[in-house]
Amino acid sequence: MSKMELLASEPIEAYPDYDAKKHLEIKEALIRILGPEWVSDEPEITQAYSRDWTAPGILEPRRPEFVVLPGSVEDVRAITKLANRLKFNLLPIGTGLCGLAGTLPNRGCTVTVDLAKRMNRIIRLDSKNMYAVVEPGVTYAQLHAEALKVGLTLSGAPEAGAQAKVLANHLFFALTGKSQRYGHAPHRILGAEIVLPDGELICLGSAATTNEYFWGSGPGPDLIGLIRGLTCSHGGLGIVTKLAVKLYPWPGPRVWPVEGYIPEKRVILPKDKFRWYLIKLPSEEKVIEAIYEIGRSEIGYAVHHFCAYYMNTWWAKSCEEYWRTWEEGYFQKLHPSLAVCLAGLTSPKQLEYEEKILKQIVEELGGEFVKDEKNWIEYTASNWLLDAQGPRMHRPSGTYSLFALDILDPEWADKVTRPNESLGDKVREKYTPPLVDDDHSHWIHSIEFGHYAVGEQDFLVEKSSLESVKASMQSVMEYITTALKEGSPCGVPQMASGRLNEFAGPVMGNYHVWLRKIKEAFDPNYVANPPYPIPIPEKEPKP
Amino acid sequence: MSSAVKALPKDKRWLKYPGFDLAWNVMACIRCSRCYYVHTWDVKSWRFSEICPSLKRYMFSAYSAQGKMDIGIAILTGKLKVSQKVAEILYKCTLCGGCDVMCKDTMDMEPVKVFEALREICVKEGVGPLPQHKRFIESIEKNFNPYNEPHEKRLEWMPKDVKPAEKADVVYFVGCTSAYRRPEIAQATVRILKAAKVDFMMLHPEEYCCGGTALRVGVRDLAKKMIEHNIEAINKSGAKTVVTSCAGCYNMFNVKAREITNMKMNFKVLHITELIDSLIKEGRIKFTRELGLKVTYHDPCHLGRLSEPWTPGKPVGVKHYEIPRRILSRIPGVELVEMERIKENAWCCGAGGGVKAAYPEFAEWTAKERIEEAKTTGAEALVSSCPFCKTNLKDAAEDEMKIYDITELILQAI
Amino acid sequence: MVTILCIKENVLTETERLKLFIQHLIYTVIYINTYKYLIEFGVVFLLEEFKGELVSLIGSEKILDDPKTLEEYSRDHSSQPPRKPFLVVKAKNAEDVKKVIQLANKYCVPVVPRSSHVGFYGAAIPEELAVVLDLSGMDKILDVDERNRWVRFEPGVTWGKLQEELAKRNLMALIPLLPHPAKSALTSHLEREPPLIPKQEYQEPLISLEMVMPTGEIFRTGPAAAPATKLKVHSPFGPGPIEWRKLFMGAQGTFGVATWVTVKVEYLPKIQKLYFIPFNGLEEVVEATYAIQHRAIGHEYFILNDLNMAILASEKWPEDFNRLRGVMPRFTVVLCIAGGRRLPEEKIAYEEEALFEEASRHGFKPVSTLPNTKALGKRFLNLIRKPWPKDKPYWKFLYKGMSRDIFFHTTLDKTPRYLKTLFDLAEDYRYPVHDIGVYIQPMELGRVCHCEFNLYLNPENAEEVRLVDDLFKEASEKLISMGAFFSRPYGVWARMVYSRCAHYHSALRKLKKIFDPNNIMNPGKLNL
Repeated sequence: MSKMELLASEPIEAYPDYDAKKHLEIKEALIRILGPEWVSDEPEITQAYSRDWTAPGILEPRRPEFVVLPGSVEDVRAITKLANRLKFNLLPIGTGLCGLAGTLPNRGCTVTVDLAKRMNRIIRLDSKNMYAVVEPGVTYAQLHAEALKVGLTLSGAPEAGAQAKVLANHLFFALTGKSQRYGHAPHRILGAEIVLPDGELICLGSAATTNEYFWGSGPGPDLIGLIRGLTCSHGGLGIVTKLAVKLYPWPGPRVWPVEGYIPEKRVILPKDKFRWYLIKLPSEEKVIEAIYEIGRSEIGYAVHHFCAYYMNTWWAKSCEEYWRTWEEGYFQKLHPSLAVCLAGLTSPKQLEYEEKILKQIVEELGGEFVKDEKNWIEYTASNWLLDAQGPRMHRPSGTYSLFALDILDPEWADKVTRPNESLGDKVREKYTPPLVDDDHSHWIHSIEFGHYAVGEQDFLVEKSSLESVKASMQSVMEYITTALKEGSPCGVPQMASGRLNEFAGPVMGNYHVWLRKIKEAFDPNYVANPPYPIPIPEKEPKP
Repeated sequence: MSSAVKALPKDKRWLKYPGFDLAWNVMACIRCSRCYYVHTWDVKSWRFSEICPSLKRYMFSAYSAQGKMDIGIAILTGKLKVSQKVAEILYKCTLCGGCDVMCKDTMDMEPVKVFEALREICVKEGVGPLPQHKRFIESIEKNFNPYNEPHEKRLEWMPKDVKPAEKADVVYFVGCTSAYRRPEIAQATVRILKAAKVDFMMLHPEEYCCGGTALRVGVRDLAKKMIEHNIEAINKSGAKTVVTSCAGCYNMFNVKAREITNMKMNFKVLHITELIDSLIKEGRIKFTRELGLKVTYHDPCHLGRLSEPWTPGKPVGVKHYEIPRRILSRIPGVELVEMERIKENAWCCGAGGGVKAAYPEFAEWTAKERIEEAKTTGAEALVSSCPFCKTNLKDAAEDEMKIYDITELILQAI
Repeated sequence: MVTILCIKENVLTETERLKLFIQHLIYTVIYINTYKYLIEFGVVFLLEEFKGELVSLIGSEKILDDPKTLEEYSRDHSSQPPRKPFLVVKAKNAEDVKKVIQLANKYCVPVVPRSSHVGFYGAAIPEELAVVLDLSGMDKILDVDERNRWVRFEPGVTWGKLQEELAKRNLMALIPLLPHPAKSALTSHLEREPPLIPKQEYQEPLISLEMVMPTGEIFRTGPAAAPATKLKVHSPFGPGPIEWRKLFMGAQGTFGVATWVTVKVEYLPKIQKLYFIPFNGLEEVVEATYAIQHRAIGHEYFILNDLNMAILASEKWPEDFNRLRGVMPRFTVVLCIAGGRRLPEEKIAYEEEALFEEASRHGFKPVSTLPNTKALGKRFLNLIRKPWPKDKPYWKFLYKGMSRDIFFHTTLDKTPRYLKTLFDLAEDYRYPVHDIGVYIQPMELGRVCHCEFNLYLNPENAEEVRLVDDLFKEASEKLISMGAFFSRPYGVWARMVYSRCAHYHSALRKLKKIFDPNNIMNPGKLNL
């Protein structure tokens, strides 16, 4: 089978679980609810919902039987109740980028609910109380643009890019540029409106008893914990139709200060309010120390330990430029480095104050400030406060995969990503080639002034090489099984959700048992995107 | 120390973009959805943040660039028949290049070429071009223009007081739309050339349709035939420069010709705005009248993001964003206010890619969206530099807004 | 009986029919009481069995059922009707807790966990015959990680003990406003009491916890669930796609028993300046607060009305209070500007400058002390990072002996409206509005606030108690209907809140059934 064929899905009729009569029954019922223009089972339409960014061969692409475009929460409720009655599977998507299969059909009778196309309004933007309520189709870029107008900002955009949907991405992962100050995504949610798998509607947080979404916790036990943990349930415990997210004071310009043209756009932020620094430190240990000390000093707007692959791929304007710069070793020579943004949120004097401290810390740790010869700050870093050039991470070889991605503390984030020493790095070395060299790249991302950190290890996979893709799958499984055998926190199974929770659960306090009970209780008819968040074996289709 | 030698990608195409290959491109799509929107750094509001008319109008992801890539995968692997529905999805697209330029910011890919290639497949499989396209294809074949107008009348618009030279260094390539539908643009152009004392000649009867409309609906052979004829005629004329006031023709000569033919072009190609810009700098065009007009400028897709051949890593068409604005800023009494989606982020006028012929309602809808955006600037007039843009915008604007070609304003001010 | 009456209608005389009716009534009462007695007898028998087995599991020294103890555990400072437990178990460790719960499951005996010797909201008063599981003896601080800035401790650790231990390392936990000295710090965190410091943008300080689930298993949240971390790595997320920690917080012990928590700690500022900002009206306070908070000025920041300010500012009671009562500003913002670990003076300088910029813009005046007080700033600084001193009556008891607190979350701009509503209602009830304390705690740079009204009352005055309880209930209903968010639904609030979000409550009931299939954990609380 060619790589191309691995990306293409078979017609739905080719699958043994296809039932033509049921298909027709579902179609008629969906059309009665939504109208014919918002329901499609045409393969030309459904084909576009059959894959995500994963490399060919990792996931079997499969078209849903239907794609529907609901226009309101009432539509979503009606579809959900119908799913319970006629027993078909609901698969909600935002952008559908995912990369971990949560947005792809994995069985027959799946209706992909594309929430982003018609439910795409910013319902409310409260500038005084600093929050916004959005529907599934609102992107980070859109919300950011509206927030900037009133002197507010988001925590940044995720690695996926600012075209990702605020709602879906906050549920999925949503590491952002300013996590140093504003924390991780689950703590930026202020409430939600959810259609539960049985079709009932609940609002979380203050929206439960008021008409407003100003606060997210409660009443009583906080059910936001159900929709977002380390990652999300991919709709397996309900479909979120509104989300309230925090906004933050922004002392910068009300229009994002961009200059230049694609792909050479630059962001020039006012230097009295924002400054980026590239710092080279003598060792990985010193980098971690710096993260801690910066956190303890309560300075920093964005604090990231990026390695060469990330820096280069976000900065490079073409694959040729990436590889030329790679062979030159420019970004590798900066390593181990820290990219720090300081902001004068209170006043420009805050910036001066924080800069003094940063200089003290760098000196104490034997580091040096590096001259930004390639304008990495203007081309890439400054924009990290709004967008991430995440999709560029695919460019050097077509795709990438990941090992570690867990929220730990900086010391453990280092442990799970350290070059040559971490499990991920050892596994990666073993499979390179045919995995592609990335000079042990990893990324540590300080959160909440160094209280936590994400350790991330992405690695390059050659998309056009079946050998490379196979190696990526094998290496990830080896990583997961080894990490779990060691009893280590291993973010990947929980990121991937679904079946992999069954591997991780027994190691981590048998959470999978509780998770299964929750799934059974909330989704008794097993229609909410099975097998997410965890399969119920008795209800899984027979092979 | 770089360990790059250890494991570079085996497939050298990742090290350097190999040039357009349909299978390579459709496989490379990562489904990031940046093709749906204006560049994320340039979004100024929720209202005007989308760039893809097809997706905004028809909403299912299949209509987006990413969706069409998926269709490409399915067609190339035989998992999807080249059906009427495939044709509908592929042809409900103006080929504006909005997705194309956004994609190039992220990956080395060429979505517009993918769509053109897929349309060619549709033609080969007999589901394209659409019946409405066939009418103008036949007309091009017969009359050398898509409007079913007599070829002999191609120069009927020429003002009596303007006398093109028998031989000159400059050829004015008028283009079908200016010639038959927007004579005011052609007239303004030649009057400007006259005022600047620029000698120019016309190719007629050897000026044929540039072939753009044929190429964009997948009839590549006809497009090749047309452009090759034109190139030969210009080469033969000895002209050193071809000037056009049509963005579509400009794109054909400056970009597409190199893709579809090996014929050598012994001349350079300029859009009229480029020439006017130089003439202003040289003092050969002087503005003497104040227009007292607040305008906003619409960047034609073919005179911007699709105006030049693409080199990975390099911006495209920068000068074409700057030149018209520079000209407008020099016209006395013209106040230029900008829309949110401008330059590489421009929202398409809605006419291109065969959409106006096959899906006039979609073309109108797209243009109305642009008019809405123009109205938010407070401008009295929307100015462009393409006759096809003017046609479609004017059809949609009715009385809501004045629509001008830039040549008209320039002429008024001289 | 009715049948007899009907049949006998034409057969018996009036008197005979009446006699027969009374006879049958008596038999019915005897029957029901006998039945009840038998049930009670059965229950008591079962409980005795339970007790017997419990003694053999954990030892009799940990079990108390003398009348005095049971009376002590039957009530707290809330208006929750008192209810004696069946017995009290004083757990010493998680193993004890596990054994009690496993046994309770076997016998379906309700268990009410209680971490503090003091309670204000009735959460640890049983709704039915139950075992109170007193965790106050589990009072170890288990681990302090200065590098990662967290502390892990057991339920019985009071705020005083916690802050004292942390202070040795120049650290502090994020304490709410002057908690009772006997208050469990774990309970405060689990119940999401708002800290005094609103500058952090990232929700609660509680990171992770260990639970003994109602079915007896141990469950840990975050990376602590992974054995390799050896309880040294803590973050709030997971394991898996659920943030378990959030489900257990605010649960009032209905979803299990927390046997340790990890919470964030921060550095104790070495130098700081405390300001008081007086205002005449709450609207002005609100505008100033938005301005100050949006510029991230300050460390601790809270708002008190004149009554509460006078209470807290009094050293000698009641002399100071009587003197200060009439001169305190209508509202006062208490704002501490603190230096960081490095260059503390410079931090204070730029924040001060920003504060005075806002002061000039909005027309308020920060001062270092209030009328008729001496060194108030220094005294407050000494107070606010610790619980209320042990050697004094608790500040909420000083004025009249007791307080009924109405508290909820809202946005700052709505607080004046809610205050007016309460005042109007108080007037209807002839409750003196000058006896109402106000405490407003901005959170997360003023995004939201904890708004608290203290209805002070004399607990010895039965009429006043009744009046205040009625006012409390009506005010709470009214405020909820106006949009106040009662995120911690204690006591009567549970019905008021959950009747407005039935589906939310239904989801909670589902979780309750999962975690606690035998419904043994604090049944009745949260209406579960």
